[in-house]
Amino acid sequence: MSGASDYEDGMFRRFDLDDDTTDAIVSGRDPGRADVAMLVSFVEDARAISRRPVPVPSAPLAAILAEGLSTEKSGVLVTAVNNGAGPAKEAAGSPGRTKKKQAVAQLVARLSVGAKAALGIGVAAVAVTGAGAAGALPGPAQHAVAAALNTMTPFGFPDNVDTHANNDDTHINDANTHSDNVDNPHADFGKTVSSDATGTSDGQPGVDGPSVASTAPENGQSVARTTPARDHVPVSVPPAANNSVGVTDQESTNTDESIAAKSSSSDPPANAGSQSSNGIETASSTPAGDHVPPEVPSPHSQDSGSLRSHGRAPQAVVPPNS
Amino acid sequence: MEREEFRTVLVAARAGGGWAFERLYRDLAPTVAAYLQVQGAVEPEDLTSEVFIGVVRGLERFSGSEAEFRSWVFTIAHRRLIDERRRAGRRPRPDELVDETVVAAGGDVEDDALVRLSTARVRELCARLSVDQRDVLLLRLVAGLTLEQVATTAGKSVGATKALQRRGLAALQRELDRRGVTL
Repeated sequence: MSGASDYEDGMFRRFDLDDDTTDAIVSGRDPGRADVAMLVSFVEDARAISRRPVPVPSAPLAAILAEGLSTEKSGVLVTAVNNGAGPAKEAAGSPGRTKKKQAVAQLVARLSVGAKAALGIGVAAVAVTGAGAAGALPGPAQHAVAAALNTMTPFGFPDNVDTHANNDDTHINDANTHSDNVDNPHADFGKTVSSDATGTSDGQPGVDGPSVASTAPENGQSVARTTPARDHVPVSVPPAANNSVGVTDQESTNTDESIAAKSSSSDPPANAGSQSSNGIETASSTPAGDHVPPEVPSPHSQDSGSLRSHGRAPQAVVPPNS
Repeated sequence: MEREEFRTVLVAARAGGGWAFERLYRDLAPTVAAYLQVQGAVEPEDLTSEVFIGVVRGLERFSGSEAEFRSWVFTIAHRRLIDERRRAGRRPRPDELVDETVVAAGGDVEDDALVRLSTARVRELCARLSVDQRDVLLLRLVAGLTLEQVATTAGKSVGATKALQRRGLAALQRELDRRGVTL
């Protein structure tokens, strides 16, 4: 379009800019004209505004990226969302690297449903971990689960917890920024391990399901209310006597469809109190099992309770030529 | 990125490599967000994410150099911007382009302040231009596209794009003269 319509009211006055001057200004060269110094300054400003931090991806984009990475690395979210048969079947049916293009196409095709589902399972994982397992799982197990969840988004963005503190709690990155916050109330997780979990009290590794502390459900709910999934914390937790300290479909008071759909009774955290489970085993049986550290950090280790210490390292995939 | 490096990253991104897509995102997302913000997008960061969802969707079909990739990404960004304008049912009024600039903190207070200031000034001045002039100038200056790439992105001839660029700069110069202040 050209002509007078290009001009706003009051701006149609004569000012000549020849091609050479225009090219010099736009390309950042000195046009050799003092009368356009302010214009040169404007161009410098315009170029400078792109020197800003990498923007935080939206929840759908983060979900796509997490799902894509999971397909590539471990199938965490794909397994959790789309494969009711569980990790073994998903692993067996994994398309592998030879079908990555197809996987990406499928991934994108699933965006409207899959991304939401991925978000749903992200919330469900946090909710179940927080509401059911946070107080019931031994510290290291909680630590391992949190570390695994923290790998689900590929970006190590600056901590924007202040900026996003009031945003939608279902935002995957919010979960990560909360996990990265050095002031996070979860920072003490992993610093102590119960003697029951280590086996020193009864000679048997793992927490005995029926003897889960009576305060565990209350602790779990208390901690869960500080997580991004705080709005989904059930109002009550069933008694530990039935060995089910997790959240199931029947027991959950959560009305969020996306979460309820994922919180099936077969969710691994629901078995957190079983006789044979200990922290690593329990965490390994979750959909994020591939991210569970091989060893439980020392109870008195300085960084054993820091979510940051395990959060980002696994995703720092280095490109081959850089 | 070197040519071969970009090629490697592109191939990896097409194959679903998270690190590769992250690399592409990190390289271009700040500029895309800046372009959308200075164009008056309501939620520039969300729209940037929409753009990159479009990039994921179309990556299979793209082939070309890094410069062509940049141009392609900004074509998507520009179209998303137009879609947003259409959804809003109107063009942005100048006074809507001069609200308080929000730029995510990046760690360096001085740099952040300068970026905020620059963004506010550019938005405020560009709000005085016609939409076509603003599109051309911002694609040239913020997105860093060539005249030919801008023409393709904006759906105009190179000649018309060049004329819009010249008249846009002239209009800015007049506005700066009128104000009598330096940036």
